[in-house]
Amino acid sequence: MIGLMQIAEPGMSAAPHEERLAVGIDLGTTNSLVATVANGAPEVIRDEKGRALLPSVVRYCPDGSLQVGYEALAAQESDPLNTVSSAKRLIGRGRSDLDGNIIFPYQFEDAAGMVRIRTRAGVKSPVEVSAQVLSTLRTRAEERLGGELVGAVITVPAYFDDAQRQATKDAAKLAGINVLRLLNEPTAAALAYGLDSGAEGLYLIYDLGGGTFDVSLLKLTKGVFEVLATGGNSALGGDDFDHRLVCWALEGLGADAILDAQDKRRLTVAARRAKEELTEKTSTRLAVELSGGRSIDREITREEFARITCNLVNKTLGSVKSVLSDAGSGAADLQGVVLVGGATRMPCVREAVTEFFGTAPFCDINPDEVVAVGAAMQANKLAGNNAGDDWLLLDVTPLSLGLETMGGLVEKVIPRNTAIPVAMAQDFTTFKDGQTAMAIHVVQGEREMVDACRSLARFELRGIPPMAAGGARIRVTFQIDADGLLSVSARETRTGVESSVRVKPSYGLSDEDIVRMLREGNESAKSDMLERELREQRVEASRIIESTHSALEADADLLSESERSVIDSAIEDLQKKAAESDAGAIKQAIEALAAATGDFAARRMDRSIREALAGQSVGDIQI
Amino acid sequence: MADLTPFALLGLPERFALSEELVQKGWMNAIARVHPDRFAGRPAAERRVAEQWAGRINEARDELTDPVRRASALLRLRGADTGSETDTRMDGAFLMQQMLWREEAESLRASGASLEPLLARIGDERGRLIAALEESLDASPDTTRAREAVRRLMFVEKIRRDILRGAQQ
Repeated sequence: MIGLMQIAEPGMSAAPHEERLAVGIDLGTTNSLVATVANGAPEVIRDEKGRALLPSVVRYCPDGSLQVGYEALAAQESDPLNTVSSAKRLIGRGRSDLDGNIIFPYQFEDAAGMVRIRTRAGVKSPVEVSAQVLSTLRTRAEERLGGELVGAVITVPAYFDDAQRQATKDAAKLAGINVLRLLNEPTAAALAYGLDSGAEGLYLIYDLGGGTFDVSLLKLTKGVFEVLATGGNSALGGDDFDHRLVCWALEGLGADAILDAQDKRRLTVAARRAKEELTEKTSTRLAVELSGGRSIDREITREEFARITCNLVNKTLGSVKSVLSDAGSGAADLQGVVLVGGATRMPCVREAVTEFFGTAPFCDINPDEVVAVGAAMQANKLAGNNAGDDWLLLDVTPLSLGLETMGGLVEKVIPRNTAIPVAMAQDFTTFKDGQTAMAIHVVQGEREMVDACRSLARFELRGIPPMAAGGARIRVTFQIDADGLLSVSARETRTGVESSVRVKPSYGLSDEDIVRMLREGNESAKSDMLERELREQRVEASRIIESTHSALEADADLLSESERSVIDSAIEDLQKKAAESDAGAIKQAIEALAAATGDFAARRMDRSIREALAGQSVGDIQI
Repeated sequence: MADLTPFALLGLPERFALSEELVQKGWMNAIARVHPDRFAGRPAAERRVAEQWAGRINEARDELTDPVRRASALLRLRGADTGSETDTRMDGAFLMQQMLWREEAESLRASGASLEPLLARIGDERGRLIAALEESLDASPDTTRAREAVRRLMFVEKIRRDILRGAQQ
């Protein structure tokens, strides 16, 4: 174990409670996993057949039922239009965002915002498909752990933009999972390694998954994981290596190379198998029967495979270089390189990485499981099960955030790799005489032109008093919370006119969509849901009453008599509602108590943080 | 929250001479105490307060790491504005020097020659200004001199950034 940082509790500890069940979920392009921390040790939760991986594949069957995982994967060749895999490549993306190089065997539906897939069970969004995978993992975990989850940490590629993150969160919501945190995959991998192997210094995480490539540079110091820089490619992964093999195989067909959906699928499956075989063997055959009596049967060697995929490997190394240069570091400064993702098993990748860094990478932890393990550790911590270890994860925002200005240019307000949580403000002004409104367009990305960035939200600041051009001073504040989610507010500083928006990306689902999907998905299990809801609300009620009591005991001096009596009566009301069986009424009473104690909580926290900060001085810092 | 200076937030002395390592240590120490994840089990209202503090501490690190912003913060604490918005007068010789540097960068880029020697000379000027700030803010406080130095440093930092950005394109 590494020398973990000892940090004084700022004058309070969490209310005592039993172990709360929490899991980490690696929602992958190809496969997904769930892990938990049991008795202080992380472990992957397996299915009844002992398998850790769940293929991220959902099939809508002719009889109206659903298959998720291996069963669906097995049906992929025979029923390609109704079997959806790689939903992660589609989530939070519009039709025009999709990489033209990848063959998707689906019938896409043109819908506003996110792309949708036409199946025999109706039109499905990638959010719904992902929700099915998440829900299967949730059930697996709850059965194994014997109780309901308080929440999960779900991992996403560091390179995911706000729309993709929000869509992933929506999928979790649909699956009935409370998201404790969206965690970047490379960071999760570092967590898993850092605590096991006593690492200190600079580490690079090279994460080549099924559909995405992520690279992150992390600094580990005394139990603090600081992400220095992150980059990668959200449309490059193991699937692209399969695709290279498919193209290579098609060269042999010449003019006959017109494939229907089933052919494409068969060929892709065969290519993937050949790729995997080349990890163990130095050569293999790619053999597949196609429609119309055509067939492919070619031998491929490891060298040939390395040759046809070397531009993909070079692309990954290009991202590595730019992350290193972002952080002002070089390959020589690294303490180590960690390999994550099943695609890093390919010998051509391992060789290229070893050659590039001049040192063999770490791969002790199963590259398929390492992300879920790290996520489980963070979930355990965020659920409040302090296992005694004292580490802290400090993350950064992966992409720059900015505003559209005159001429379609982007003014960056928060540059990428800024530590979160963060609030930053920038002043703008009006450009016309008498202008009384200002359109605010929030974008994400590194390019200077608005059109090349992802549009996140638009809103308007109205009611600016008419002034000469350049007279108004409009301060736009971007705030990113610890979950990486953005809110934006705008204020005319001389008059105080204000407007704000919780960013809901234009590519995401509307709240109405979510409500509709939740209703559809839960029709059958409605009574279960009501019962579960009631139980959950009662547990939450007793938690909040308990923590309010202990807060009152500790810091009653912060309250006036009248404030105190408002809180006391809110507690009384909640106790009464919890004894009855109306979940909605309990929820309302919980919200009322939370509202009544909001100021008190803020004052307590403010006091304890001031005390904690007052206790520090340069004297504590050894130079 | 606003009553605490960035120096106080990170537990650092109010002086200009602060190494990046020292700021980093102060930041790590402070953020570890207030990061919302330390209060994972607490109610949302409390975590929001922690989040605001954490944001402020992250900002304090950025502010104190950048010499221009650090010097400006010290000047503000001493009741002196840097005057960068209202007062745009600058010494003519200094402005001429800026123009010459920019022209030199242009012609070096056009001829494909290395920018390093030019950047090194600009770096020397930067070093001189930082030394002047240490002198006028720490050793023998002189607000007028410090104000002049920080404004020059702003120009020098900007030209350095512009040249580096141009080199990347």
